[in-house]
Amino acid sequence: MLLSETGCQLPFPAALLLLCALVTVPAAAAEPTLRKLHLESDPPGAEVLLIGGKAGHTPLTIGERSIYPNDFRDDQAHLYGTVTLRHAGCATRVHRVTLDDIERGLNVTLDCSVRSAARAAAAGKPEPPVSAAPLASAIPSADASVPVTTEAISQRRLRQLQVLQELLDEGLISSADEQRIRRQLLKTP
Amino acid sequence: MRPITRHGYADALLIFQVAVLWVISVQTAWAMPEFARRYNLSCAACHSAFPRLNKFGEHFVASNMRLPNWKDSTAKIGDKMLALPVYPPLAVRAQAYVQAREGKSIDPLTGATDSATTDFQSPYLVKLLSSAPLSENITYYFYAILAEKGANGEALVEDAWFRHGDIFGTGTGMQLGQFQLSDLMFPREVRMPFQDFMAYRMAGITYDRGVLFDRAVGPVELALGLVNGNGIVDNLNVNSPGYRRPDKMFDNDNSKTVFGRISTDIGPVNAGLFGLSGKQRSIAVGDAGINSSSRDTDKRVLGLDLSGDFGGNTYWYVQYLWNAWDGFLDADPNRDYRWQGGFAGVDYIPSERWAFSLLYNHADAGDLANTDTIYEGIDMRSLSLTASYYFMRNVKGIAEINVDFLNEDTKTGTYWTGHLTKENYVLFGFDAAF
Repeated sequence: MLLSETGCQLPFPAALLLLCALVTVPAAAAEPTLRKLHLESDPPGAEVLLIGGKAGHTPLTIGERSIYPNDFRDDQAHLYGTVTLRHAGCATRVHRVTLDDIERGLNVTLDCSVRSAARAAAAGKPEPPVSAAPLASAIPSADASVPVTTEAISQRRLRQLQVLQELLDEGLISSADEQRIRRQLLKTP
Repeated sequence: MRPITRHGYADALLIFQVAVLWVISVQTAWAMPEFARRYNLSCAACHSAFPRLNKFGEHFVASNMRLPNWKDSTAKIGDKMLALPVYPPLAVRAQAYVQAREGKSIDPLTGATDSATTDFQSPYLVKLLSSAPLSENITYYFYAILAEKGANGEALVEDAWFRHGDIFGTGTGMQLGQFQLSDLMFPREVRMPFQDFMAYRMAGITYDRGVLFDRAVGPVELALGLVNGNGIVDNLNVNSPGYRRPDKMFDNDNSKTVFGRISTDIGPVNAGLFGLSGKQRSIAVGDAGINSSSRDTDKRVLGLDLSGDFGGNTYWYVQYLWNAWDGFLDADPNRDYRWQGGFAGVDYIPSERWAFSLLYNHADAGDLANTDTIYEGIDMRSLSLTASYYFMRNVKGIAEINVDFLNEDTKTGTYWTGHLTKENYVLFGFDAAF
């Protein structure tokens, strides 16, 4: 109608029909995502967090667009392109996803020795449950029944190890450096 | 196969082929666009649908076109003063189309007319692009177009600049080189439709040579630039000191054009104000206004741009430009000419395979109407509908129809100027980056 009112004559009806046909192809018929990341962990059953929130538990297959969403909150920008794995009794692991991961799949070995050590230091206190809270709050909170100094030290070590892992994942330090610092941290009382 | 007869083109092609073969020999993952290749990331990390950038892609551009781990892709040669990319950072963008249209080529002086209702525009262009961080703060970006729009025998360098991300530790970025002034608003290179953002071309705010400073102040983004104001073609001999002096003069007058933009997010909408003030050569009397004269005349542009998205898969944008060209035509040098134009568009990306776009271009010649010059042709009212199908993230087939809402003008003056034919077209083709 608009076209006729403005005096426009469509010169290529056949082409227009073709274009319309293209436009009306049901989008749902197309693949929702072209590629997926297959994610496993050792131990399995780790909770997987993406920038958009909880995605499920390993083993898990995730659409690429869930890792690289077109839009996200500014305060979540540091999680763009990453997967975060949380497992009771293990250190939380943040991994930046690469093309190789998507092509070959990703198997993340979680460091559960740290939590075991912390638990031992905390004299057998039960592990706090994993929650859907942001990464920072995944570090267990201080337990009033544990001596403050012991708990504070173990909490600080956990945070340091997590930061160390992030630095390694982002390529800011070498693997050798990471091992050296990790050993030093674990040795330090 | 059509023989290559132009030596310039043949040489450029040879250099290009050698470069490609060499890169292939050292880089097996050549079939990925350059930034994805360097950072081992999916194209999806930066693009909603090639070439449209998503939020992270825009952040990447604003971060001096680098990620924090950019040094990982440099050669490990043990010299802290050298950050050479491991392989030549090259990429290619190529487009090929077939078009059916109503528009004709009419000589404004004689009325001689050529027409081709169907047209194989292949290759439409071949671009060779390169970009890399060179130091903690300096990045370069460059591309050359081979055989743009059928101009075989030519290689045209458009974007070519260095950018320092933090001048003197002030948090201010500085870009020096060739770039588009309009990139401060909506970069033409990452638009989804084939149809151009015509108001930018008509207002003459595309490529120029100069410097651009930018900085964020809280929620406000500021950009201020200075350019020669005469485009990217002029190149004059400096001969007054003597014979065969080596240097060239890129500007052709003493004035510079100053321009800037201030923008911020207002809720879900990004709003920007653009301003430009400079000089341009006046237009000589006669010959349909195709020849420049020697007078420098004042030129001012004011712009308003708005943009936003819904859910990361529907993007919208609106641009308005107001133009003041004082004393532009020698035929009436005391007259000031005002005209305005703009465009509005929507990109809808329902899946990883499909994207659909609408682009409406509008321009009104205003005071330049009925001047018997080619500037009568600033008039435009067209709607472009585009469907893109992604064979791969970096290879798409495109179908576009352009509907012209203006009626044909009849020749009224001495010359063949104005909207003498309609510009409806239908286009199909391929667009790839690798």
